[in-house]
Amino acid sequence: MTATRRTVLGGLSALAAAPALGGARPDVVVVGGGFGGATAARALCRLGLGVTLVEPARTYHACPLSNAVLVGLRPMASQVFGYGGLAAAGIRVVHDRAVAIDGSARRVRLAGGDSLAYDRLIVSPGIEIRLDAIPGYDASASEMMPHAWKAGPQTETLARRLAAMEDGGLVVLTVPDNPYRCPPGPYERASLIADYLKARKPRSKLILLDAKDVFSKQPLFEEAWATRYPQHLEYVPRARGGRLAEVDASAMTLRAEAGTFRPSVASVIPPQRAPEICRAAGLTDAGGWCPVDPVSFESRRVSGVHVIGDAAMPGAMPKSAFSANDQAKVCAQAVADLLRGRAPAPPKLVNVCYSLVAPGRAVSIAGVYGIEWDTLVAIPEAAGISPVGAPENLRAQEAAHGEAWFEAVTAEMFG
Amino acid sequence: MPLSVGSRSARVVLLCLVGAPAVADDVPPPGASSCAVCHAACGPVPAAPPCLRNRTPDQIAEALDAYRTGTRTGTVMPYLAKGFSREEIRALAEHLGQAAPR
Ligand SMILES: Cc1cc2nc3c(=O)[nH]c(=O)nc-3n(C[C@H](O)[C@H](O)[C@H](O)COP(=O)(O)OP(=O)(O)OC[C@H]3O[C@@H](n4cnc5c(N)ncnc54)[C@H](O)[C@@H]3O)c2cc1C
Repeated sequence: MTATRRTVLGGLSALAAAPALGGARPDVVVVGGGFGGATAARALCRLGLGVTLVEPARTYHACPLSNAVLVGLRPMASQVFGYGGLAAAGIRVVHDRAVAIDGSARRVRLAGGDSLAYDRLIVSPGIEIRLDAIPGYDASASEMMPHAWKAGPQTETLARRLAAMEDGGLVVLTVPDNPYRCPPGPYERASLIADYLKARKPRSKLILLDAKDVFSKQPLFEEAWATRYPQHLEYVPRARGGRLAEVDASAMTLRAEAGTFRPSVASVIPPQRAPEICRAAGLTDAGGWCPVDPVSFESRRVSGVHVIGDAAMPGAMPKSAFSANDQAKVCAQAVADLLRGRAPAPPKLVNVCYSLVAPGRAVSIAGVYGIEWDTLVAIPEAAGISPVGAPENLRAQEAAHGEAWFEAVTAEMFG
Repeated sequence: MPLSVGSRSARVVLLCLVGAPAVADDVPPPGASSCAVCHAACGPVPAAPPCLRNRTPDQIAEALDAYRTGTRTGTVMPYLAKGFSREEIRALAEHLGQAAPR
């Protein structure tokens, strides 16, 4: 896993393209104040650069652990963070939406009419939920069958529906094909809902319709389902007709090859892509995500613009908050290096992601990613999941580690 | 508009520098930024992973080598340690074990 000639050359050509700064303090603009953007802003600030963060929302709603909110295990308030800590650290926080990027003039245009000049731009806008991918699943259908895949009002809607459902009701949850935000997240959601039904509404059941046959942490989820929820969770993979074909929100029906379902509560997680700002700026490829150089996270399409987090496709890393946080720090260092006329060193990135399989019981996936040729690859011996058949105390320890990570990472970003 | 934007951001640059005067040239070794989230928070969170700035670089390198070679068991660390060479582990241990730069 060493730097290849090509990646080193890539770094140098990026250097050559850097603007002459003439001694002025360089300014970096960051678009998006989530796991990628807020972390990048803090890291750039620590590196002594001038930072402006553009984020339309006054508060951030964090997704990790939001599946626990759905079933009443955590209050929504524990997911909500403000931007006061970033402002106090010296970051200029602009509450507006970026609507266009002019890569040659190095300016970002905001919905409010202002435009910001940058020496380098970091974009971390997360995902766009596709409302054109599943027939019948448009904006109003998404209110009837909430995805809750961006934490916020839909999380609370889905929590209310589950709480209000009568015992004996059917819950249907649908999962898209890869790639999408948080690969194990739907299975965590299924586990926690099944646990809730078993404890509180034991005559009810969850059907999990999947557009795939293989998924993240699969042996661990399957173990948990077989031992904990045999009566309350039915998994339907693609091979058995699990791919969602169509919904009719007014009739509250979902059609898959496996059958047509009319549940009391439905959550449809549709396919996703990089948000509109990425398409508008020409950062995306045909798959809808943003290809980047894995050393600097600079866009392969528009020079001077770096993309991190869920919107980026740097190679093998999963779309997780842990990845976004790590990519942000690597990218901030690379941006500082490039602005100071140094070639960024080839990084190593880490992802660790915990999923609850029951209240207070979690499993993990871990991986280290290095540069090979011109992409990020998982280092095979450094990738794995928690042991199958482990005792409860290990699952409890991993749940505590997951919570400790959430506390630490949100304090680092927003504290 | 752009003018006022420029002058305000110039003031902000100073604030950022005041917050973190000495770290600009201290490039962390590969992987260090990910370790720090869980191991440098050092807050009062119960059951959090160990606070590494209280350990010597030798202690940290020894633990990582043991995870890497399989003589020590754990949850995610046996995997993560195998992603780094002995030299990289040494650099991480020196970086994380020294008193935190902030
Ligand atoms: C249910 C669920 C559970 C999850 N659990 C975990 C977990 O346990 N561990 C884990 O690591 N990950 C988890 N994730 C994944 C994690 O939430 C995402 O991977 C992470 O949020 C990605 O960070 P980001 O910066 O790319 O995007 P976000 O965190 O979504 O941030 C994007 C920000 O950009 C802003 N924005 C968008 N467009 C614009 C624009 N044009 N101008 C300005 N700002 C804009 C948005 O308002 C938003 O604040 C989970 C996700 C879900 C849905």
